[in-house]
Amino acid sequence: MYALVDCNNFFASCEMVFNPKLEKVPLVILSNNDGCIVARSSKAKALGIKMGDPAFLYKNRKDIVMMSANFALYSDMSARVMQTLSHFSPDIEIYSIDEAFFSLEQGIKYIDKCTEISKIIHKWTGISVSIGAAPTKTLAKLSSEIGKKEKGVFVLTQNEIPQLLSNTSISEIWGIGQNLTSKLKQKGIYTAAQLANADDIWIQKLIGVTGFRTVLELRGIPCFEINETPEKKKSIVCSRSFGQKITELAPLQEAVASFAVSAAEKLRSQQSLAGFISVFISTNQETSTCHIHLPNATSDTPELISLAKQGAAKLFREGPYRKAGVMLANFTEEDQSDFITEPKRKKPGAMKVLDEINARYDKPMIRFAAEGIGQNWKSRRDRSSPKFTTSWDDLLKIV
Amino acid sequence: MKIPYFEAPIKAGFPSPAEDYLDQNLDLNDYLIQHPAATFFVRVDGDSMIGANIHKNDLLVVDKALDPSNGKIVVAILNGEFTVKRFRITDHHVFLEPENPKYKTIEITPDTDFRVWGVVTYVIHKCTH
Repeated sequence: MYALVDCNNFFASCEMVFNPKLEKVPLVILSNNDGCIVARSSKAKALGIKMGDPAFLYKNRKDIVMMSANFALYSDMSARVMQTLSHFSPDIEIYSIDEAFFSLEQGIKYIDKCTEISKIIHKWTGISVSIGAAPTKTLAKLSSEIGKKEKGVFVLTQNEIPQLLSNTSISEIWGIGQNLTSKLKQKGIYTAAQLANADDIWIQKLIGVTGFRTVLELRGIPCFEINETPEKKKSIVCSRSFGQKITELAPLQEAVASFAVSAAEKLRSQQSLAGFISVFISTNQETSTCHIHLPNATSDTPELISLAKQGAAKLFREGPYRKAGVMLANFTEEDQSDFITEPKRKKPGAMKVLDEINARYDKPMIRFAAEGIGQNWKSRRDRSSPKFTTSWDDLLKIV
Repeated sequence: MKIPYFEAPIKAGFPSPAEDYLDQNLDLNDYLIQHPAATFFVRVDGDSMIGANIHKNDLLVVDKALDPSNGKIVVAILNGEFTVKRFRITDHHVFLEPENPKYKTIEITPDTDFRVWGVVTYVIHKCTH
């Protein structure tokens, strides 16, 4: 049996642990640079505030509290939730900052176990969670959504699967992205039930072997173990709005270099190589983009930095620029790379050491000079809460 | 915080007879923290618990995994505000007791907006001379 723990309104809940007054008001959390809404408390959701809404829409609303994202706090609280969960299951997979899969021993009272886990996580960390349990990971993810709407815990049994699937549209299924959704809709498949009942050979031809594993999972046949996901990312984007407008090439290059660094790190974490990089820079009026196809796929940070900087130099006019980004795509697997054409540029060892060292600390300890030191382009977070759990100077004060 | 020890360097000749007796570093975290995921540090900003040796600017180790019981010092949320007090529970009543005659005991009634946030397990006080 597999289960998914999903923290409810995670960023907003983290803020409430250290500021209980926020429980009584609609609370929204703003993205980098305070541009748009990335999280909402349940009171904010009830007002009809949507994810991604620009912050200025609610600027004059005195009843809504807006806070800047405090990622130091959220990642510490996330680690606490995950650590608490690991007391209950040896097999946990941290899927995102606020979600984790875990396995449940066969034959136990699943509902009791999940209720206990949810209670303990809430008591220990102050974060409330929803848990969905089901015979497969794909079904567990759907079940956790039901858990969220109901009492917080939902256990799906084999004979309830058909009912759940007929109420689920294909776009809600884990691993069925936009491309597969439109492909399936063209063939008249709209619900998870239709997908689960499709002819094996026909559907495998349409959506491939990995897609077919998702179909089997919907039927209740486990195909993805803990720590195995349906699909690796097909592209990685790192982009940001700037805290202040940029009018010179040097800081712009620092910014794209720093995006290349984090994109490359994500690329290596899924063991892929990129065969394509694009760089974009935006003024208030327009966005210009430059695409670079790489003769040899790579995940080497210095190589990607240099391409990103070249791209930015090629695009640069006078600005002022308010946003930029780097996208990596056209991925191949690390081990399928062509060692013959360009063996001397490969530095897998150096990048591996870099990733290992940086993974050990909260902040990257080893950085590239190309990223710049001041990073003045970095976003401002004016309304952030203190780093209650990660800074001695910011501890919660109690009278 | 780690207290370092030095491993005897490998050399030809006799090994240090003390080598077999080396234990691990003493880590204050082990001593102070029973439930790491549930333990938070907070800073004292008042004088209502002076009688319990809790002073302004002291650091409190707060364990959210523990249940409050009669006589424990707790961090509680009272009307949306954090406070540190001694928790008293009798057959019919719950009180938050300060340990400073300047402050009054607070009775918790069913109408009070109140909950216990965590139990204080240690007070870390900087010695001044």
